[in-house]
Amino acid sequence: MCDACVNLARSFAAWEVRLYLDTHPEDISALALYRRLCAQECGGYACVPHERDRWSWIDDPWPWELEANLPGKEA
Amino acid sequence: MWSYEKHLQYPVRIARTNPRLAQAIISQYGGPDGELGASLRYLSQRFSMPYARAKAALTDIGTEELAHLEIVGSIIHQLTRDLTPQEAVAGGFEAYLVDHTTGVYPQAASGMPFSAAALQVKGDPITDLSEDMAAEMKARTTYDNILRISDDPDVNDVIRFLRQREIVHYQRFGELLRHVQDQLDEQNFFAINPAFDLRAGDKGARDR
Repeated sequence: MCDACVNLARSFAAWEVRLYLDTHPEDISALALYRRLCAQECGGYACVPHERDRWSWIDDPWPWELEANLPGKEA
Repeated sequence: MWSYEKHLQYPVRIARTNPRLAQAIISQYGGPDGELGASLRYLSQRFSMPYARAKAALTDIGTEELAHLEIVGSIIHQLTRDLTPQEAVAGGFEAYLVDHTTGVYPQAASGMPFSAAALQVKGDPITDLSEDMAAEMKARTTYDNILRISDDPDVNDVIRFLRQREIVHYQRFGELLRHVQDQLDEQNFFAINPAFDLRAGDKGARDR
């Protein structure tokens, strides 16, 4: 596959693991797989920062909630 | 908020134009069970979800549906590329052409404009997740129907990818539904709406 194709395939694989992590946030081996896929630059659109050992992407507060918009939370 | 990645989630390369097929496939753009309705439904439902993993999954799946909306729009665009008026008439496409030329307009195959009446945001997690599972199956059936009437391998390759994604989303929503049911003990199950009847400290109101 061309480089662009490999990147798209890897991004998609990372995305698929991300959706799985959303409903299985305690699955440590899935988290490890996600980190491996995102370690290379071409992890791409699927990759978001998260705590090292847990899928913290799901954590409250979410942007529409008051707690996320209070002064001091802008970062 | 959203940023935009300047590539499709899955490539669309269609060699042959086919306005008749475009008219059918447009239902997955602006039809009752199409990608626009799906994304709007999920991105709207997340506001009243009390459970973190449901907020995350609805955000992520709703975002992916926008990416699929883009793919379907790309299919319509390529199927009507360089269309001549004669080709349009031969393909039974003239009614659409008159109102939209070869623009991509959010409507169903029947010509009905997109309507939010095809989706619901009930504000009750069990209800909304049940709606979402049905929505994914309706989309899958629509892709099945497209595959029944299309003999274009370039089109069918992309349709099969989109169809498979609906099945995966159905799986994820099923997991969320089971999770919500686990959070409510037997006395509360179906008798209350955890998004409305419980307060932050109540049992069942948040993930255990």
